Amino acid sequence: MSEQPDTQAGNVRPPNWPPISETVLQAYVDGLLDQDQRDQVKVYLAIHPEEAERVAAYLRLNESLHVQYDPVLEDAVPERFSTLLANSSAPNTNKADRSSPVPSL
Amino acid sequence: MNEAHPFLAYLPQLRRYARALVGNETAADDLVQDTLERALNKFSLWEQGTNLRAWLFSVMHNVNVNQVRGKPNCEPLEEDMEFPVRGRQECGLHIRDLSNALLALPLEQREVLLLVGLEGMRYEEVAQALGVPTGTVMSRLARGRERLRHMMDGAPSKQTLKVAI
Repeated sequence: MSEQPDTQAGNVRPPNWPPISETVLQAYVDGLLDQDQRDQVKVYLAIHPEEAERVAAYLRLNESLHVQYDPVLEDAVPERFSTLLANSSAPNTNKADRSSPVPSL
Repeated sequence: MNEAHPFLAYLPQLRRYARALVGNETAADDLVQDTLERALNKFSLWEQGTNLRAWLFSVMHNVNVNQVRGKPNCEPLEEDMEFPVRGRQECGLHIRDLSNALLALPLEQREVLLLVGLEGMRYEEVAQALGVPTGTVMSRLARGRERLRHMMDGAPSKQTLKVAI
C-alpha cells in the first residue's frame, strides 16, 4: 500500500491527539505495541517523513543485528561449556520441586 | 540419564549476545565461561520461578562490567563520552561495519540496544537484567539507536531526543 504524504493524510489524525512520544516510537520498532497504537504510529509516520526514515533505519538495524549474529545460535555448544555444566550438579537437586527449573518466558 | 542443566537452554543466546557485545569469538566465549562459572556459584541466589534468562544476563552484565573496569585503556562505559576513538578512521566518518559501529557505542547503550534488538527482551526485562530503571533503559535505547544510525548512515544525529516515560 502506498501512502500519499499529502494533506489528506494529515487529516486522518485528529489534531487533539497527543504527540507520539519517543518511547512509543521505540516500542513500535520493537513490535511491542497493540494494533491501535501501531495504527496511530503509522498515521503519524505517514505525515512525518523524517521520522519515518528514522524509524525505518531502526528497523533495519534490528534486522541487521539478527543477520549478523543469529548464526551463533546454530553453533554446536562448545565442549568447555557442556563439560562445565555437565560436571556441575544440577542445582536445587535436594529440593522436592524440580518440576519446572526454568521459568516460562 | 542426567537432566539437562537449566542454563543450557540459554547458552546459545548468551553466546550470541556476548559475541555482539565484545566483538570477537574468543573474548565472547571467555565472557560466557566466566558468566557460567559465576552463575553456577551464585545459583542458590536465583529465586525459583523468576526469570532465569534475565538473571543470567544480569550475571553476564556484572561480570563484563567488572572486567571492563579492571582494564586500562578501557572502552567507553558512560554515555556522556561523545565519540570514543577506537580507530582513527571511525572518528566522525561512516562506520559501515555493524560490529565496529557497535563497539564504538558506549557500553551501556550497546547493552540495551542488543538486549532489546537482538535478544528480544521487553524493556522491563532489560531493566531487571541491568539493574536500572525502565526509563534509563528507554533513554539509552533511544540514544544508542540514534548514535548508531548516525555512524552507519552518516545521518545527522538527532541531539534533541526527548524520551517521554
